Amino acid sequence: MVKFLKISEGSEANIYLQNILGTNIIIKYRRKKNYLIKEIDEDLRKHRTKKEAKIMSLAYSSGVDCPIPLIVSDYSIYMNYIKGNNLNKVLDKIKDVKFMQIGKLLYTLHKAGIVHNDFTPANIILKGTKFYLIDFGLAELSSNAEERAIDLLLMKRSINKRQYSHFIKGYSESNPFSKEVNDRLAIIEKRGRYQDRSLSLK
Amino acid sequence: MILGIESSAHTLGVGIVDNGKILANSKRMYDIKESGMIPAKVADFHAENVYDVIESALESAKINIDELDGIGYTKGPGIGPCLHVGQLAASYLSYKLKLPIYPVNHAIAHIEITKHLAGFKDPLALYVSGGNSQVLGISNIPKKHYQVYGETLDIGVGNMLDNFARAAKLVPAWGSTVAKVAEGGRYIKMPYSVKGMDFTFTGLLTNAVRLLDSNKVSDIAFSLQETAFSMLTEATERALMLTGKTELVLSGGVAQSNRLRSMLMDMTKSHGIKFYDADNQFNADNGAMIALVAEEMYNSGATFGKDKLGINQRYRIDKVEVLW
Ligand SMILES: Nc1ncnc2c1ncn2[C@@H]1O[C@H](COP(=O)(O)OP(=O)(O)O)[C@@H](O)[C@H]1O
Ligand SMILES: [Mg+2]
Repeated sequence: MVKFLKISEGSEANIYLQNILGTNIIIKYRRKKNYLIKEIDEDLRKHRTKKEAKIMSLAYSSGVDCPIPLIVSDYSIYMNYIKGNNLNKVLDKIKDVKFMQIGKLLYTLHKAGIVHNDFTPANIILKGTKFYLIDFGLAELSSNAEERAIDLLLMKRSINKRQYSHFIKGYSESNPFSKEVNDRLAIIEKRGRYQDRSLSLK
Repeated sequence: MILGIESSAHTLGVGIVDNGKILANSKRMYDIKESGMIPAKVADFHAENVYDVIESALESAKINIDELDGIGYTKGPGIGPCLHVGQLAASYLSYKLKLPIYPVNHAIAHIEITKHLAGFKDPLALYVSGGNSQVLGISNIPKKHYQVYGETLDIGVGNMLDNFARAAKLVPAWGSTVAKVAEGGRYIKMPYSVKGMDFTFTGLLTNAVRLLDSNKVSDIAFSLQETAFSMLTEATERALMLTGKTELVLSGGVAQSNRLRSMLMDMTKSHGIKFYDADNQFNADNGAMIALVAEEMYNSGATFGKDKLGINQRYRIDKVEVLW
C-alpha cells in the first residue's frame, strides 16, 4: 500500500508527498483544467511538465541547489523531497546576512542560462542552513538582462531593504553580468508597467 | 443625481444614476461600416449627437436638467478627438448649471459598474476591451488604486480579434463575427503565450492569418478564439490564487463573448469563487458607468481642479487614485 498525502494545491499543479520503500518522494501533478478544450489542456500539461523537468535537471547539473527530477511522466514529475520550511514562512526568523546565500543561488541559476520567473520566498525551501530553489514551472532558458532583472525584482518586492542589500551582494559577487542586470532593474522600476498596448489608438 | 458622458471610441453614451440606481443609459453608435474608424469623423458624429443623447437620457430618467448634482465624463484612455467632445459637453453643462465635474477613467468605470451590479466587495477583475486586456484588483499600497497583476504585453484581445476578422474578410470585422464563424470549427494547434500573469497576442494573430491560405476559416477562428480566451482565463486563475481574492468580475467590450464567460464560469466554479458578468449594455461602452464612478467621487467629497480636467488618451488605470 502506498500512502498519498496532498501537501499543496497551486493554480495548475497538486503536490503529493508519497513514501516509496521508506523514501519520501514529491510528486508534482498537473491537473486537468475543466475550462480548456481537451487538445489544449493535454498539450499544455505535457509540454509544461516536460519543460519543467528539463530545466530543473539542467539547473541541478549546473550546481543549483534544487530537487532532482527522478521520473517524468505525461503530467507528473517525481522528485526528491526537501524537508524544510518554505522561506515565506520563516522570513523574519533568519539572519539578514543569510540572504547573501539566496543571492548566490540566483546567480548560479542565471549563470546556467536559466531565468526562474517566479523567484519569490514561496519557492525557496530552507533545510538546515541551506536554501533550495523549487518550482521551475515558469522557468525559461534565457540570458537576457531584462528577464534576469525580473527575478531580482520579484525577490526585492518580497523582502525588506536590509535583507535585499545582502541578497544583492550575494548575487553580484564576482558576477560578470551583475552590473547590466542591476542597471536594467533600475530602468524597469522607473518604467512601472507602462508600455503602449494598442494598435488602433496610435 | 449624476449625469455621465462617455465618448472614448465609436459610442456616444449618456447615463444618469441616483444613489447607485441607474435611471438612464442612452447611447448612439457611429457606424464603423460607413468609413472605418477615422477619428475626426467619429468625433464629428459625437458632436452632432451629444446634446440629443443628453436629452433622451433626461427623458428616460424622467428628470429635469436642474435636478442634477454633478457631471462626469471620460478622461481616457481613448481616441483624442472623441474624448474631447465628451469633455467639452461636460464642461459646458458644468459651467451652465454650476455643477461639479468629475474626470473618469474608462477602464475603472467598466469594472466599477460590474462590481456594483454584482454587489461584490473586493473582486479581482478581468478587463478585456479593444485596446486593452488586464487582470486587476484593488490594492491599498501605497495608496488605494487598481493594481495590474497581469496584462497583455502587446495588443488588446479585442484588437486581435478585429484584425483577424479583417484579414479573413469577415463582415462586420469584429469579435462577435469571429465567434459566429468559430461555431463547429475544429482545433488546429496555435502558439500559446502566457508568462506568469502576462500574455501576448501578436504571435497568435500572425499565425492565424498565415493559416488562412491553407485551412478552413471556421477551424482557424475556433482555434484562435479558444487559445486567446484560454490564455486570459489561465492568467486570471493564477492571479486569483496569488491574491486569494474570492470574487471575480468580467468587464469591457470582449466580456460580451459567451465562450469567454463560460470558461471563466467553469474556472471559478472549480475553485469555489463567485463570478459575475454584467448585462451587455454595460460591457459595451456606456454612459451609466461614467455616471456611477462620478457619483462615487461626488459622495467621497473629492473635487478636481482645472489641471485634472483634461483628456488623456493613454490614461493608465493604475495611475488613478481610488478616492471612494
Ligand atoms: N521537492 C520538494 N520538496 C519539498 N516540498 C516541495 C517540493 N516541491 C514542492 N514542494 C512544496 O509544494 C509547494 C508547491 O510546489 P510548487 O512546485 O511551488 O508548485 P506551484 O506551481 O503550485 O507553486 C511548495 O511551496 C512546497 O511547499
Ligand atoms: Mg510555487
